[in-house]
Amino acid sequence: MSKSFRKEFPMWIGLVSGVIVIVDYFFNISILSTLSKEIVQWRNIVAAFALALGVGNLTRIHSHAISQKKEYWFFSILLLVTMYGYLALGLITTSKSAPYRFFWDNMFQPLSGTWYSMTVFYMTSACWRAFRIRTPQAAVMLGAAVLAMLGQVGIGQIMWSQLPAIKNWLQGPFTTAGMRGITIGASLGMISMSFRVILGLERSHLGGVGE
Amino acid sequence: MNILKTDIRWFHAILVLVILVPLFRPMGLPLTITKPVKDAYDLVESLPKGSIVLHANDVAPSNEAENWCQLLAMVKHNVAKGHRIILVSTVAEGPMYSDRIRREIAEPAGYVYGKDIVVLPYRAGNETAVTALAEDFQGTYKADYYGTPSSQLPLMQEVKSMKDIAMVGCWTSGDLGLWYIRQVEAKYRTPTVTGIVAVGLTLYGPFQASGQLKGLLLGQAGAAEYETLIKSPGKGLAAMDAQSMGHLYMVLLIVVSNIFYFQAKRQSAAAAGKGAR
Repeated sequence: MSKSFRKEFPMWIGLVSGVIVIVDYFFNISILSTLSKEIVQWRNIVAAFALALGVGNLTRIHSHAISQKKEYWFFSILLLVTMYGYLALGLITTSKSAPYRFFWDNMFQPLSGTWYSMTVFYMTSACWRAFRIRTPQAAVMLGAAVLAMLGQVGIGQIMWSQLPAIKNWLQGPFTTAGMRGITIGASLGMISMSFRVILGLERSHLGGVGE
Repeated sequence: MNILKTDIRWFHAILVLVILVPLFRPMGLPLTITKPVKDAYDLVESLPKGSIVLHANDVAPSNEAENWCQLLAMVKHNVAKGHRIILVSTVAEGPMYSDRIRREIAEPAGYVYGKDIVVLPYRAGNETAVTALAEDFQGTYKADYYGTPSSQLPLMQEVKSMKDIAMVGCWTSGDLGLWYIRQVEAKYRTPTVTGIVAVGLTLYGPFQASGQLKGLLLGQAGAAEYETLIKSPGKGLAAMDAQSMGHLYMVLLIVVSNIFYFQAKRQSAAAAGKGAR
């Protein structure tokens, strides 16, 4: 397989697939609709393979850490044993079985929940150490944050009955206007990037560099 | 002693107490029903018995505290109104929660699996997965989560396209609701509501204001409001007092730390002034 073919072929796949899916979104053409459905299904299959790629990558990195006896290498063993053990359990007994559900209900779910809940302690630290009124802008931001935090919950209503209305006002016109600006800007950027990918001008995702 | 240099673990310990006490001794703090939650409730109320509702369940341990109680509240409402339910997921953990809905809510209420409720498996691909199910629902799901072919599930046979779905509910901490707005609401005009984590308002607020989202449940407060509307207190309401006290504690920390910060700043400025003289 020639080098130019390896470079050009994925670009042509992107061009043809992109044009078909975009045209199908705006126009009702039977043949394009059928092709678009197929392409979208293929995309999902490719995405599923990305999960397998992630497992392979984790295995490679942690096997290397174990063989090199890097710092905390025993955690790498734990990770690989847990990952492949749970995978094997799912494959042998299916994810609907009692043993699979036992580990899910009693280990994965509580541990994951605990891990994510830990962020509240970081928030506490930030509230005490980081949120300082050093500039007028910081004062405005902290003022809005305090009003939004109290307006969101019942204790704020007891303190001042107007707090929920103020919170809604802050989160209404101000937030919506700001976010619309960001969304429109990001969408224009995404449209332009999509056209660059479809037209083959942007090739960094193919392993090369854009023009 | 500089109070700003106090060991932070003391504040962590106080936080645990501040959250735990209201969980065990609820205070019954007031709760206002916001318009986006009432809109979502009214939409569900307006659907006739037997309507097919699609819940895009992206609940995972990371967002369970907020999204799970929202989804439970709405599913309870759907069940009370006799709506038929299809559950889909674009996160791997989602079907485990969907399975719980079938076991803990639907079947005890007399729902028959396959006829009144269907749990569909995880689909990779994020927005493309949503596009696929919108364009070719039966082609995207050849079998359900339990491996039963879709052709053997009467409820699946009724869904030829998104036009057969009366309402979509998206339960997420991320962009899932935006995917459904773009790929389902915009193309098929299927009424869509979203339940998001509290910080997601900035992302979804504009779509609620534009009417593309017919309802919005925001964080645990949104779940608590919905539970109040359906008169079925659940996890959302139970945790609201704890969240109230947690918010108050954070605000107090910000205010008090800034008072000490300005005091320390004034003292150091005064000391510098004395030194200069």
